[in-house]
Amino acid sequence: MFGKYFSVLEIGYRQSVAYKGDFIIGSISTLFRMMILAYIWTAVYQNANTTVINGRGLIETITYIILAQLIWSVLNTNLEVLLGFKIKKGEITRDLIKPINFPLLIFLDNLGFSLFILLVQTMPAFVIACFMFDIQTPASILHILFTLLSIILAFFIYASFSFTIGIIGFWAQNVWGISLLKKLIFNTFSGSLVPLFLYPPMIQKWIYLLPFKEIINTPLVIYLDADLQMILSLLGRQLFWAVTFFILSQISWMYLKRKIEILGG
Amino acid sequence: MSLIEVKNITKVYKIKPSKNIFSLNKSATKVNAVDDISFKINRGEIIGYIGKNGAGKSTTIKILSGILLPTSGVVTVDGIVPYKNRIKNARKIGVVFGQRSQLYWDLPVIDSFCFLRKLYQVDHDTYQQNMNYFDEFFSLQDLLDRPVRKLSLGQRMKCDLCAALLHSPEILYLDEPTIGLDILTKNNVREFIKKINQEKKITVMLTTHDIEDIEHLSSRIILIDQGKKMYDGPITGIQKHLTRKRLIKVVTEKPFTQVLENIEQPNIKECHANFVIDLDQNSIPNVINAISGSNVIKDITVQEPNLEQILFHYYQQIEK
Repeated sequence: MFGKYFSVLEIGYRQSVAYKGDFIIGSISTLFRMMILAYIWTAVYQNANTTVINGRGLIETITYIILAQLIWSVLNTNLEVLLGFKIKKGEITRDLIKPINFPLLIFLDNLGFSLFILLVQTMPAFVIACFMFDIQTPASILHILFTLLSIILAFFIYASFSFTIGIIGFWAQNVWGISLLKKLIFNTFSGSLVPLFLYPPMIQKWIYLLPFKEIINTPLVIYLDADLQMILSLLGRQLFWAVTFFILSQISWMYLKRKIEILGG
Repeated sequence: MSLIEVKNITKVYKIKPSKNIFSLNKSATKVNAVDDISFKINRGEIIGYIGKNGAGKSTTIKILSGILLPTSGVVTVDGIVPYKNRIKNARKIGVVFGQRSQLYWDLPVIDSFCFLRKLYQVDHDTYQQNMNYFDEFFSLQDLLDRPVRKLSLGQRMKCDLCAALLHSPEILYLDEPTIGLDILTKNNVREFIKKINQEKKITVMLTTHDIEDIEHLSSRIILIDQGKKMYDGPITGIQKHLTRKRLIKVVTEKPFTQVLENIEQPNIKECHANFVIDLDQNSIPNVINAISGSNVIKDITVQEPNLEQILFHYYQQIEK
């Protein structure tokens, strides 16, 4: 039974492996991003008058930055572009003749791609970065588990969000532009580029109301130091957004399905 | 009971004028891609589904495979309504779109096969049996390890056909399976379709523009035009049904200058003349008499037009 779903994940993975040269370039660029950001913040801390900025020390900031790059490079797939391409070129017909739910197919295919990025591209970069910089070790095994759970939820939120965006892009006839906008927003408000605790408190307050921080900032806050009560409340919020975006993606899928059934592939 | 039953299906596409905020006229035009078509297909038949470009062939195939929802009418495929139960229907059918591959472009063929095997939950023995069967006919072994992008069109089509048959479907829909293939590969593909139909009892419905496909494979054709069914029956029937025309080729001694009555498309090159005559208006002896009155006939042949000529003639008539 699960073989069917696993096969989609596997083919997503295999498609990524097809171009072996890509992963070395990807790996190097991930490492470089980690290094650049870590050096910038090291310089900032060295020239500041205090050792703590907005409640966080240098080691915490570096840990945040490097782990944020790790999560972002794994999550940041081009699901919406792929989806838009499939619809536009009519490739969706070949998926619709297969005995599988279409959103699930896209989701698993994307997961396969992410696993490839994690194992082959990001992990080597991360291991090297660990030797280069001081990184805070997790407080307990429980923290690791909760962080992993949070990353899984983050993946789910981001994939559902991208799926919805892909269909909105199809409707607006400009997937590429909307995809670019999406990435810009996530880069600003998720913590992938700048740790959210470094923003002015006023802006932080607004950012915390938005869903974008759930994919990077939330897992990292859990990793760094949250106590159990806080972890549960953070996971609760993530779950809320996961359900919300899941519903949105299902609604947009129903819209697309009707469109295809009525207008043709 | 028939395997596929199609009752009065209609598919209306609404075509909106291109989205432009300045365009005030937003009224959509309606196009009947399929217009009140009904037919029944029995188990084990090979149906040739023909018509001009845009006649509604692919739309019908998409409705039958559960991708499109008909505007009205009912379809059942082996007791299942495909567009209501797409996934259950998908297990029973194999589909090949000639212009679109379902293989993964960057991966070796075998990866796509393994994927499909797991996706359709084909057990190991059945998979091996099917692969041996395909290999015997197409000698796939050499192709399996090559990435799909490096295959020729013919090789890709063979692999696509096998991919669609991997899960032993009961029905095979082929949308222009021989498009762009060379004559040898075409023949190869035709023989294969015939073989699986006879040996595996797979019901085949194929759309094509290549009349030879039809002549080789199917005993029954369904002809549609502008969404409407124009003919449904044996190939031999369409000849009587659509035309009573004969092609006469004459070679004469002296250059041909005569003007004959009731004859269309005279094609004259000195001593060689080709006519098409309508048996309802003219008769062959009459023509021969008329010619031999002023000239000497050296050679004469009378041909019943083949399917391609009939269809050509028929399509032209509709256009007028």
